This record gives sequence, structure tokens and C-alpha cells, in this order.
Amino acid sequence: MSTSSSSSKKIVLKSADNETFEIDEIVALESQAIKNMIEDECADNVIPLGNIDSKTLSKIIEYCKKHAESPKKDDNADIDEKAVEDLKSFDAEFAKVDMPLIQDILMAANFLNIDNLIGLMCRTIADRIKGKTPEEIRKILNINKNDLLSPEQEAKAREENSWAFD
Amino acid sequence: MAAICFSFCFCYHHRVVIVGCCYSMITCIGLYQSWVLRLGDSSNLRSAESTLKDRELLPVWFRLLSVSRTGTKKMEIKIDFVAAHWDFAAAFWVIMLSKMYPNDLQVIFLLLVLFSKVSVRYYDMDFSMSRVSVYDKRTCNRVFMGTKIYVPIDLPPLGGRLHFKLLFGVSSWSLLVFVCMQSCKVCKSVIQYVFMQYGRDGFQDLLMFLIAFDIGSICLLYLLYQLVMTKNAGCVLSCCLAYLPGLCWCLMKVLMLALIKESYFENDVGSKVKRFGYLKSRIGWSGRICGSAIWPLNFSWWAAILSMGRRVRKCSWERFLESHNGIFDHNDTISRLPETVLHHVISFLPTSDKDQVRFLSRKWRRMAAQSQKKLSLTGRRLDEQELSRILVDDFHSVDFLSLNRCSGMKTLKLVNFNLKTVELNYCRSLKSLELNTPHLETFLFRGPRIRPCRIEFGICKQLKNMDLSGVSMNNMMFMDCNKTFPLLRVLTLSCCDMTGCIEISSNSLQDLFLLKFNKSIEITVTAPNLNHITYNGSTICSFSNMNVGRLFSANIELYRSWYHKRNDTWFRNLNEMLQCLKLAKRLVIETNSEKNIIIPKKLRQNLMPPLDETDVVLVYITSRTRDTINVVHLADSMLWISPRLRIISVCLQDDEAIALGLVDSGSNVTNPMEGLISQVMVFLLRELCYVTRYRKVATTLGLYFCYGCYFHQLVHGDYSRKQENSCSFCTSQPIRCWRHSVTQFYAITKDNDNSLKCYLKENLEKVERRYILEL
Repeated sequence: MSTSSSSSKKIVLKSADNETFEIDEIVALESQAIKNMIEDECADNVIPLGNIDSKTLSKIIEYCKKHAESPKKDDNADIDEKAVEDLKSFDAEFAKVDMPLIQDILMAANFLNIDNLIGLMCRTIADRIKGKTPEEIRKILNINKNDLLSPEQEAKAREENSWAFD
Repeated sequence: MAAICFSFCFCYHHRVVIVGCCYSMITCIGLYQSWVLRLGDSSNLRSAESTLKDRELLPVWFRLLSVSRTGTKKMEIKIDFVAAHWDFAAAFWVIMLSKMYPNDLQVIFLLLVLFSKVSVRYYDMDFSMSRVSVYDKRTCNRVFMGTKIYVPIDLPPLGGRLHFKLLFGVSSWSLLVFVCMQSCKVCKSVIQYVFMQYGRDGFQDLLMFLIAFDIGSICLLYLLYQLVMTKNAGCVLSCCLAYLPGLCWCLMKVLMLALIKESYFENDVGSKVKRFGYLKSRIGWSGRICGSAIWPLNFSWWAAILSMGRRVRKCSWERFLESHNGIFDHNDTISRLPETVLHHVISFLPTSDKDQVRFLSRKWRRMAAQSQKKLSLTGRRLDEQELSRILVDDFHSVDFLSLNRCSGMKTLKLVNFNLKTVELNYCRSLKSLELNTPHLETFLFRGPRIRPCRIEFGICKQLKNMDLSGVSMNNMMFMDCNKTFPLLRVLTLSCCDMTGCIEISSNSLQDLFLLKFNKSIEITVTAPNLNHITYNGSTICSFSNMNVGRLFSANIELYRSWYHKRNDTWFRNLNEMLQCLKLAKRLVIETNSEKNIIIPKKLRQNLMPPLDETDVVLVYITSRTRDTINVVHLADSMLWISPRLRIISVCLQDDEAIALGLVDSGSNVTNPMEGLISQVMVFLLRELCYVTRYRKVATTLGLYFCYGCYFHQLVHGDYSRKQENSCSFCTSQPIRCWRHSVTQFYAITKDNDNSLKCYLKENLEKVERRYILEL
């Protein structure tokens, strides 16, 4: 369709700390939410993202850029093996960040509705808590302690609940 | 007087002490690996061992002496009971083991023995196949053999009311009779009276009740009884004086029993049931309290009362359900994520870690619940709304629902699109159930026979496997399965409440199990694809219009009770039933006395042999008496029933097996004697595996048959040859009966038992070759 004009079109994203990011529209379209906004034409030049800070946003844009560049799976049946490998290694590298950032990214990705990124982040979290004890998981995920049962209550709960959670 | 009294006390105490000692070392042998696997998630014997040691499964009144492995597949558990808490200890042991090994015969039997305080020291127990034998150690006689003991299902969870109602199969009440007879001869007469008066159902209930009370004081009665028999008046008197409180207790118990009998067997069924339940709890309570008042030194009663008063702790699971949303910390970003995302995270975790997740926080726990596929609730009090709320809100992806002993629901309407398997076990308050579960594939319902539940099936077109027991049957329910349950493959109807006639019609049905039929009703089956049928009952139902063109095997299990007369009608019915099943290639008959299946000679003249296509007949005699069984008569009857059969196998009790093979001339036996034994063994093993497919197949099967095995192989000759004889079968049928067609037989026999061999020799006209091997 309108290939040349839209590819050059720029979208400006504004993070919570008022930093602006100018990106190609094709990159922004990775996000289902932004795509919808553009389609509905309710997006002005600047899209404010009040709940995403610049650090997270720059990370997400990095991801979207990479994925927008690489060929989509459904575009052509014979996908370039190398491109897939390349994308995989990028994802692996991308996920090597600390847990708070991962959670922020996941939060933002969920808000922006970027499926691939949500999947990647969820997988990353799952990989990190795999095989850990609840106490370790709590530490990793920084889960609120007030919400917890006391250790003995917990032990009791385990015992009691074994029947309900076969 | 006092001296006598004391000595008696001593005696009694001594006895008690002995009893205590006897139970102090309980050895569970033969815990096979498969059972051990059920010990938590332990994957092998070693971890099972450590599980037992670590988890403190045993309550305080036990001391675990040792857990040791005695082989790759065996484990030995030694426990010491603290004698003062014997009653209680046994009760707990029952509960615990029945939880650990929900289907295990051997363990359960042990429990019963424990529970009934039968001395283990004096009896040896032998567990093989699905049977249990008990031998007296001194005389080496078998004193008891039981089959098919069902699990004591209705036991309360720890800390609940101490009330037991064990549920037994058709023949296992005999175990209890044995138990009671051993512990109390007086009890026996009471039991006989009750049994004669009220039939088996009432009897079972009362018996259970009796046991639930306390056998200890029945033992005392027995002691008194024995003293009376010795006519030592002084001793009796002193005994009475010394044990006046105990005696009062016993008398009270008898009184209570009488009370129950009175009220239980009233005319109105509904009020009967209600009243019984009420009385059970009432008398149980007051009885216990009085008992404890009379006998305050009996600590276990106090303990029981204390535990009865204790409220069952509220599960944290419930607490969790009550408080749906926890308060989250600001730093706790992850928990603020939408649940769909968290589900996404959980979905990447392996199963073991999914469990861990629910200990993180309430939210995570709810998440884990939501993604859970299987939900089983045991011993909960639920009402209908609560259950549907749980299924909709908290566990909405559950496809396997199992409710065990959940009370509180009178009616239940289950409307759900996810459920694939539903199991309802002994939810006693349930009176009517309606299922609208279009994706349901397996439905299992077990309820008490005295209080049948009404079940209505809405849309359940995917149902493949149905197992109903304790259901008030609607005679029309299975009339048109092709419409209502087009995929039904396995149907089990067990101790269902029905009268008149039941019609089962299904094109898809492959296995049909009709179990525990104690009332004579009419059964009509139209199932062209039926492969297997099992009938079990104390009477013979009349089968009519059997349209079962592809029947391959049939099992008939007849446990005749004394009030079903073994008269001409019985045998005529048997004949009719066999005739209906004549297409079966393999027939298994299991019965408690061989007389049940030997059709009298006089009757045979008027009847036609019912079977003509059956190749293999297996007979099990699970006689509890030590009468020798007349093998010749049995074989004769079986050969009459099926004149063209090739192999009969008779298993007597469980240490003798007789196999009789009639092999047609087509089979080429080159080296008869050598090949024979192995051939027979293989055959029998295979057959038995088949028969016991639904039970436990013991690994000792091989040995079991080597011991006392008879084998006769008969070779049919050219039976198309014209023969002139007066045999009624041969003259009326185009084929010859076994008498006139068998030309060879092979025999392996014990040297001292020639009766069967002689019988065959006499009856076989044209025996050309004969091989006999004496073991």
C-alpha cells in the first residue's frame, strides 16, 4: 500500500520522565497497542507513555527495532536460517538484564501489547525461578513478605493442601 | 476369693499384655514396588524408606522400630504400639495405611487383623493372587481364606470422629465373621441372629457398628463365656466382680445394639435411613461418654472424646479462598502484573516448579489454582453453591474432579464444559445428582447401598466409561445408549438399587460389569459389539434377549448366600444364564462352593448342555470350608455344560490347581511330556492374568501353579466319522461330544490322586495314546 510514505514516517514516544524517542513507524507497529492507536488515528505526533520510564522504553525500542528489521515468519515461507539464529541470539542477549528491569519491561510490554516480548520476558522469568525454593523465588522476584504466611503456617498449608493440588 | 480374683486379673492382664506384645511387631511383607511408589512422590524404594522415616507419618502412639528393605521389591516395616492406646493406635494405623495404599489388599487385611485384635502371633498370613489365607501356626491348617477385600473407604480424616464403617465386598464379610468368631464366640451367635433376621445388608452395618465400638470388651465377654463353659463358678463370680465396670459396658453395648436393630428396621425406608444415621451418631456418642465414665482408666476413650471435640482446623486453602486479594507491596512489581501475564510465566515452568509457585503469595497461589487441571477434595463439607463457585472462580481449568467423602450436599447439579472426569466417592448426603457436562468422558460414582443416589444425565454424549455403584437405578437409563451415550464403552453397575427389569442397549459397549446383584431381576442386553461381560452376585438374575454377537469372554461370579436355596430353579437359572452367554469363547466361573455349579445328574436329562462354542472354562472355587472338593464331579459337570471344550482349569482354594486340556487333533504335539508342562504353565499364566486383570496379579503366580498341579490333555480324534452310540448329545447334534471324540490325553498328576484320571479313562471310548507323568 502506502509503502514509501509510511516507512519514512516517524513516531515520537514520550516516556514518564519526559524523554522523547523518535522511531520509524514500522518499529512502532511491533506494538499492537500503538498500531491500534495509529489505525484509529487518535495518535498525534507524540505518544505519551506515562507509565514507562526512559530506561525501559529504550530497551523496548531496541527490541522492536531488531524485530522489525528481521523478516517475519509468515512473510516468506523459506525463512533465512541465519536471520532466525541471529534473532535468537539477540533475544538471549537482550534478556541478560536484572530482574527489576525484566519486570518493568514485561509490564511495559504488556501495556504496549508486544506479544513476542511478553513471551520472551515470561520465559526469562520462568527460567530464573526454575528449580528454586519459594524463599529464593521470593528474593528473585521481590515478592511482598507481608502477604505471606508464617513459615509454620506455610508448612501447614503445604501439608493440608496437598490433597487439593494433586 | 481375692486370690482367685487377682490371679484372674493377672490372667486377664497377662492376656492383654500378650495381646499387646503380639501386635508390637507387625511385619508388612511383600509391599511391592508399585505400592511403595504411592508413598508420596518417592520414586523408588530407597526414597520410600526415607519418606516413611522422615515424614513422621506415624502418630505419637506408634514407634517406628525400623524400616528396612528386604529385597528390591519388598519392604519391611516394624512398628511398636504403645499398649495403652491400642484401640486408637490401630484406628490410626488403619487410616494411615489406607491413605497410603488405597487399593492394597494385603495391607488392608493386616489392618483388619490388627483392628480386630486377632493375634498375629498365632496365625500366619499368606497373600497370593487376590486371595488371603490365614494359617494356624500350630496345626498348619488354613483357618480362613478371603477374597476381594475392599478398602475401608469411609474412614474419617485424622482428628475427626472416631467412627468406622468399613465397606466390604460380597465375600469379605466372612473375614469379619472370622475375626469376630476368633475374638468372641458369643458375638458369633449375636451375629448369626442378626444375619438371619435382617439379611446381609443390615448385618453388615451392624457388624461394622459392632467393630466400630470396641472389640476389646467383646473379648471380655468371650472370656466370661469360656469361664462359664469350664463351670468354675467361683472364678466366674470373681471375674464378674473384678470386671463389673467392663461388664456393664458390654451389657450397655448389647442394649444399644438392640436399640439400633429396633429402629433401623422400620418399615419406612426414608425414615429408616435417617434414623439409623442419627442413632449411629447418638449412640456412638452417648455410648462412648458412658463408657468412659464407667471405665475412666481406659485412656483411649478419653483420647477419642477429646479428639471428637476438637474442631477440624480450617485449611489455609479455605482461608486463601476467603481472602481473594492480598495487599501488595509497592516494590512487588511482579504481583501487580495482570494475571494473564503471570499465567504465561507459570506456563513456562515445569510441573514441579508450578507447585512451588503457590507458596509465593496468595495471588500466586490463586494463579496456580487457576491453571490446575485436577482437583480432588477429600472429607470436606461443601454445599452446591460453594462447589460451583470453586469450579467457576478458583479452579476454572479443572478437567478432573474428584470428591471423596464430601458431605453437605443433598442435590448437585453439575454444569460444566471443561470436566472430562468426575469421581464421586461416598458423598453420603448426596441424594440426587444431575450432570450436564458435555465433555465428560469418565464418570465414577460410589455411594452407600443403603442410601442410593438418583442420577440424571443431561447432555453427556462423550461419556465413554461409566462406573455406578450405590445408585438408585432408573430402568430406562440405558435403554437407548446409542442416543444418550453414543460412545459408551465400559459400563459397570454395582450394588445398584433396582427392581424389575433393566435393559441395556448400546452399539458401542465393549465391556459390561454387573456386580453385586443380590436381588433377582431381569437383564436384557443388546450390545452387538460387547466383548466381555462380568456378572457377580449372590443370586442368578434372569438374562433374557441377549444380543451379544461378538462376546468373547464371560465371567460369572456366584457367591451364593445361605438364604438363596440351591434348588432346581437355581440350576435352571444357571443353565439359562450360560445359554445366554454361549457365544463366549472363554468362560470363567468363580464361586464359593463347587456345589453351586454342579448341575445335578437328574436335571441334566431334561436340559440341553448350554455351551457349545466355548473353548476354555476356568473355575475358581473359593471355598472357605476345608471340605475336599470332588474334582471328578466338577469336571464331569463342566464337561457336560460344555461338551466341546478344549481346556478346563480348576483352581481350588489357592494351592491346588487342576487343568484339563482337551486338544483337538489339529495341534501337533511332537514331544508331549516335555513341552506339556511349560505349555500348561504359559497357558495358565496367561489365562489368569486375563482373569485377574481387574485385580492384582501376584508375581508368585508361577510357583502357585507348580504346586499341586494336575493336568490332563485330551486330543480329539476325527469326529466326523460316523459313530453309533446312545449319547443324547451326539445324536441330537451334528458334532460329537468329548466322550466320543477324544482320542488322546496327556496327564500330569500327583501319584496319590488318580480319581480324575480314572474318570477320564472310563469315559473316553477311544483313547489311543496316553501319557502320564507323576510329580
